Amino acid sequence: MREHRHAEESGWPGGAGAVAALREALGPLDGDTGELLRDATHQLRTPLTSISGYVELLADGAAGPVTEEQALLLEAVARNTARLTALIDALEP
Amino acid sequence: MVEGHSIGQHSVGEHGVGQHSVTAGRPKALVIEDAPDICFLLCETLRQGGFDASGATTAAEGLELASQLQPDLVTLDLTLPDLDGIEVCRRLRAISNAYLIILTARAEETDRLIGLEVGADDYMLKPFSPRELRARIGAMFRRPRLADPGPFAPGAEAAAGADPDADQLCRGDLVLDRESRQVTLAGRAIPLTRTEFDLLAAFMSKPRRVWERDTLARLVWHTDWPGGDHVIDVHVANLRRKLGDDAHEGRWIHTVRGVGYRFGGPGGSG
Repeated sequence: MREHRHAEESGWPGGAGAVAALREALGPLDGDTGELLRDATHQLRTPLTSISGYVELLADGAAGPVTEEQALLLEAVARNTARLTALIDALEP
Repeated sequence: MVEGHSIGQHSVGEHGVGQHSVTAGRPKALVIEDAPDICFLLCETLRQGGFDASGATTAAEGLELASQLQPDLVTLDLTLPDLDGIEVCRRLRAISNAYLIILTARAEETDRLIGLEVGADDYMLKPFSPRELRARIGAMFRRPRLADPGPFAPGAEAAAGADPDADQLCRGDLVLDRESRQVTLAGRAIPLTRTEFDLLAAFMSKPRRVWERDTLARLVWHTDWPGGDHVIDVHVANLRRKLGDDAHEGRWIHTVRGVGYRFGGPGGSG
């Protein structure tokens, strides 16, 4: 819990702080474990790039005018995509 | 090549680069990215930024398009199915001085450093923000490329005074007249075959371009590649001899190893 708070204070958003603290506690990961984690985070970033990118284009009106209500919904998608990205950043070996 | 229709109609946004273009009209961008969804996303983002964007999903296609299009900007994914991205970066630098941004899901610092060392101008980690990408590109285009932009700098041909569509092309004492299909060197007429003339016209029209052999073949024969590499090589060797050069190398036409040929000569780049 102390580590969790420490990570939150270090600037990790949302639940990423706890993940960052756990990851830090594990120390450097070498060999297959490190490779697996690198591959996993790499693979996770690819679909996230499409999700976050297209949401931003939509929010900027690339596919037509966006109503206030639609903007709020897109904002929620963007916010949660950012949380997922922070979780992946926290997992990086 | 990824041919995508644009999403809606766009105007150049606040981060657009149209007003900073280094070539006439819309600057050209090439996206080399193996994931089709991201390739289209990047093309769309760049179109919104004022670029005429094309996409390639393999390294081979990307290098071919880079040679053909001579883009002002290239975005490159480091993880491609047919060739390592760092090697693609090196090869791109051999044929283009375009602004180059690496966009990758690899977070390792070594990849970033190697990418920048082999010629990338910037580096963004996926997922990236399209707004930030446009802003970074806008900032890059506002900065001068280099004090000496080098032979492949965008717009270098215009700066060198070469009009690729002119009836008469001059490089030093070599003059090619398209209308009369005559070539003179220091005032002396050089008899050329049709293929040799067309090759020389292509070389002289874009003196800094690196030409791949199959591109030259399509250009002079208006058809797909009719034979092996040696067909173009034979015509280039004959052309070199007629221009007073060694058949294998010379001051007018330079061999670019592993790629093709580039025109040089007085006032040129070689």
